[in-house]
Order: sequence, then C-alpha cells, then structure tokens
Amino acid sequence: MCEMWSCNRSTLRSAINRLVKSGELEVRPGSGIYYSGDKYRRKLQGLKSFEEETTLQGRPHESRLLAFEKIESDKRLSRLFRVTLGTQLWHLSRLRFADGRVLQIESSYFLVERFPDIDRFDFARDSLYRVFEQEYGVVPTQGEERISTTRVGEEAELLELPNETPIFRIESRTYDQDGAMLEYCRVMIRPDRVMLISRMETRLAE
Amino acid sequence: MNYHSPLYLQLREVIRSKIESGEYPPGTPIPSENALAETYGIHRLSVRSAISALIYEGLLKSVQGKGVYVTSRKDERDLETIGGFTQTMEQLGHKSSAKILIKATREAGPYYASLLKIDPHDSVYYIKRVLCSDGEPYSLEELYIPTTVLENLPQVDLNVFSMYQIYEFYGIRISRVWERLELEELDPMEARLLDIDSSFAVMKFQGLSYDQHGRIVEYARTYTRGDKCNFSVHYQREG
Repeated sequence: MCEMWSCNRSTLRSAINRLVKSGELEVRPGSGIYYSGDKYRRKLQGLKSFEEETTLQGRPHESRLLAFEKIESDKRLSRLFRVTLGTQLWHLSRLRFADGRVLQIESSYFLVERFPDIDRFDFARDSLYRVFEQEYGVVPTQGEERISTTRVGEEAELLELPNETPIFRIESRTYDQDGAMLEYCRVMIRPDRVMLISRMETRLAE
Repeated sequence: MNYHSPLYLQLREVIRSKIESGEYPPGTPIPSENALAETYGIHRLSVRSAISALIYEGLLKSVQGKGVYVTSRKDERDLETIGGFTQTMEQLGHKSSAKILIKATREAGPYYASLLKIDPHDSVYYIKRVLCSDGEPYSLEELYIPTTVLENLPQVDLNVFSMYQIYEFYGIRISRVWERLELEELDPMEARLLDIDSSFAVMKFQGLSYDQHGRIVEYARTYTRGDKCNFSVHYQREG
C-alpha cells in the first residue's frame, strides 16, 4: 500500500488506525485487515421500527430479549408519563443485531394499563411499534430524542466492548396520535457499528 | 439497573436523578466522597467511580480544592433548529465566540467536488475555526463553500458574524440539511485545539446545506466535545 500511494509507513499506519477505530476496518490477527462493511444507519426521524429500517437497508436482523417485566414507575418515569408514583409500567429490554453483529441495547417503557396483555407477543421477533399500531390502534406519531455520549459500564459484556469504551446514549420520548406519552426508550449504541442520520427541513425565522 | 448491578453504577444513577430532579442544583457542590460513602454504606472507590463517570458525561465538574460541582445544563445543539451556532448559544445565555484558524480559497478537488456537486477545478472557500462557549473550546468546524455562493466572503469578518447571518445578508435561505453523526477520536493536533486528550471521543458531524433553489451551499464537518454538548432531535411519522 505504501508503494501504491507513495506514502511512508507511519502515515499509512496512522490512517489504518483511524479506520480501525471508526469501525470500518477490522484487524483479524494472523489473517489481515478487512473492510468490515458500512455502518447501520439509524435514522433520527421517521419513526420506523428497527425491524422496518434494517429490512429497508437490506440487512438481516435479530433481537434477543433481555428483560420483559412489569415494574413500578419511579419519580422520573412517573413524571414522564404523568402518572402517580408506583404506577405499573412494562419494561422491555432487547439486544439488537444486524448483519450478525451486535449494535445496541434498547430499553423501552410503556404503560401496563394501556397494554395489559401485550406480553402475549414475542418481541424477540415482533416489532413493538407494529403491535402498538396494528393490535391496539395506538400510532407512534412524533417525539423527541436526546443524544449524548457516555462510557459503557454494565452493558459492556452484552455490547462486546471493553469497559469504559465511549458509546452513544439516546433517550427518546414518543407520543401517540393524541399527543399522549406512549413510550420512553433508552438506547446504548456501538458507535463503530451505527451511524446516526438526520435529515430535516429547517424552521427559519420569518 | 437493578439491585444486582454494580454499586458504583447504582450510585451513578442515584446522583444523576438528583441532578435531574434539581435536588442537587447546578452550580452547587455535591456531598463529599466520604459523606456519600457513609450515607450509602459503600466503598469510597465506588463513590469515586460513580463521580468520574458523571464528570465524563459533563454533568459534574471537579474544582481543585473545593469539591465536585453540578454543572449547568449541557448546551444542546439542536440538529433541527438551524439557528447557526452563534444564535443557538446566545439563546442559552452563554457568551459564544469563534476563533478562525484558516480562511482560504482553494480548488475543490475530486472529493469535495462530488459532495458539493461542482467541478473539481471550481474554487471553494475553506474555513477552519474553533467555537467557544465562555472562552472554552467546544467544537472544531471545517466548512467548504463554493465561491460562487458567496462572492465577497474574503472581505467579511467571520469573527463578527455567524455563517447563518452571512447567508441571510446574501438572501440565501437554507432549506434542507442532511447530517450524519458519529463518534470519533481526533488526532493529537486537533485534540489539542479542543483542549482534550486524543483518546477522548468527539461527536463528528457532517452536513450538507442547500439553499431555496436546491443548490448546495455548504459542506460542514464538525467535531464537538461530547461532555459539553448534547443534541436533541424532533421526529415525526413519515407518510
């Protein structure tokens, strides 16, 4: 490669290192350096489910159920959903894979009262948004997301990352067609495998 | 998070909720390491790990000789409200400034030409600058603008006006922006410009701005410190 691009070895190594760090190149010891394929594009708008979006991108996907339980809302969740302390919420946590690689952990919270028997669905295979809409007539309509970075802690093993690796953390609130709070979701994302895409119209002051 | 989770992570979340609920208000110190260790009956090292994690996230700040303080809310650069970073910062009540490092005219070259949809021999303005909030660097920005878009740019003082104000002067209305966000590590020279260690991950933005005629006016590449910035996005069902 040094000959092909007439550069010296340390320049080349530095460039390769950057691509390994950003996830585009993968070092397989004893074997070589491979292009690991482009990142999954998580669209920040559009409200498509993971299942829909991966299919659109032509990527085989898989989910693993980590938790699906009833919990009692604490102060923060109570305020988010505008319910009293200790209200029952479903907590659904899933590990998401695309192209056979782990991408992110999603933890969703939604009211038991609205969806009392939703545990009859298999969310390792099914889309939560599809079930909301088609089985309960509740349409995820709009919302907001807050994106930040953090260091991976207890999620490290599931995400297959060394402790303290920087990751994306997204907290989202989705509202239904009546403007009521539908779902609160927290996602921990591997930034080497997922790219966040935003496309928007601007709102310019007139 | 449950009672099986490591104690330092549980404490991290306890402190985080107290910050979010306002029980530990911005600008005030949190209880000392010893006090927290005693209150919760956990080891000081666990307390320290919990605190370090929140310092990394930008929610807490360690002040030499005084303690650990709750910082004011991280600045949010809304991916959607294209107010130009200057206007966005002023809305949040911080004093913003920009330091221009490079302002030059160059040939686009094949890569930028394909992004901007111009000929590789066409000229572009290249602007490299560091954005600061209250004097502290926050974001490193590189802009590529075809010269045909803003012909008097060399004369304009970019330290005084934001790019969006300049576009307004020229009657250019940004009507669509495509952006992409990733996490990256900077090389040591660029890391120094942002006053961080090169192992510190930054949020890398790339975006294309179009004007009201569908012409591409700018390609921007921004590296923003994750501890000083959150991003929020509104979304809507499509179709």
